[in-house]
Amino acid sequence: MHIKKFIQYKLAIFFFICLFSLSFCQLANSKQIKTEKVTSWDHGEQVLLYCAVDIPFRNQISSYADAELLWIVPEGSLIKEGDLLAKQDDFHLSQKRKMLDIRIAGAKSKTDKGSWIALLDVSCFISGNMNTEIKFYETVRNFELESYKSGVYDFNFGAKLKPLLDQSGFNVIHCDESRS
Amino acid sequence: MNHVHDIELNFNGRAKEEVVAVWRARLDRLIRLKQLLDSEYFEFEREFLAHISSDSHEQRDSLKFVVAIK
Repeated sequence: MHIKKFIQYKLAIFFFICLFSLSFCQLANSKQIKTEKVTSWDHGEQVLLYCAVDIPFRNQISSYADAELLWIVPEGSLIKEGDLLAKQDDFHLSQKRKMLDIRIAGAKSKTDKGSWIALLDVSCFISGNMNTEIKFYETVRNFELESYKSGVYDFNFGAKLKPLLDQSGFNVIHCDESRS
Repeated sequence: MNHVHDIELNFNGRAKEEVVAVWRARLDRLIRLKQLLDSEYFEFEREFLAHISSDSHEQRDSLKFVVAIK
């Protein structure tokens, strides 16, 4: 009986020492946070930051994005001239066209007779800023005219605005003349 | 005649320095045109930037503006 009480007594002391050591260690390892009273701001450093801000349609002026292939002719197939070999997903371009169709239709149905609509978009803007005398001009111009086939972006979308408005029943009263 | 003026896309004369920088970045993103011109792309880029930086640069119809009435 005395031995049992003696062991319980020793165990109690042991646990107390362990608990105290653990607490002490945790306290010793913890980071202390110091606080200071915040002073009011006065004559801080000022730096001017210059940045370029683009309006939405310019953000899309890039042929960086790739469209997924919807279909490609199976390997080993016999093909002849003029056969379709592959088709790309034209989601982005068709989406832009559909949104514009919806907006024009909305404008047509919700406005009174005599109301007007104005549309603006790019039209071969790379070759349009090139020297026409340089050897790359025709290549770049054709690249822009054919760009709609990629299904990603149409670098000559502006040229489609007039037909879109004509088809929707609007009377076009102004359209920038085509480049000669 | 094109009536729309834009300092980046449809302008006359020498482009501002920041506009040239924006064009340089844009040309760098034109992956498909890069692929098309291949090794000549650098020359094209140099000639393009030189042209928009010169006084002889002229506005053409890079933007299409259409007005219609119901």
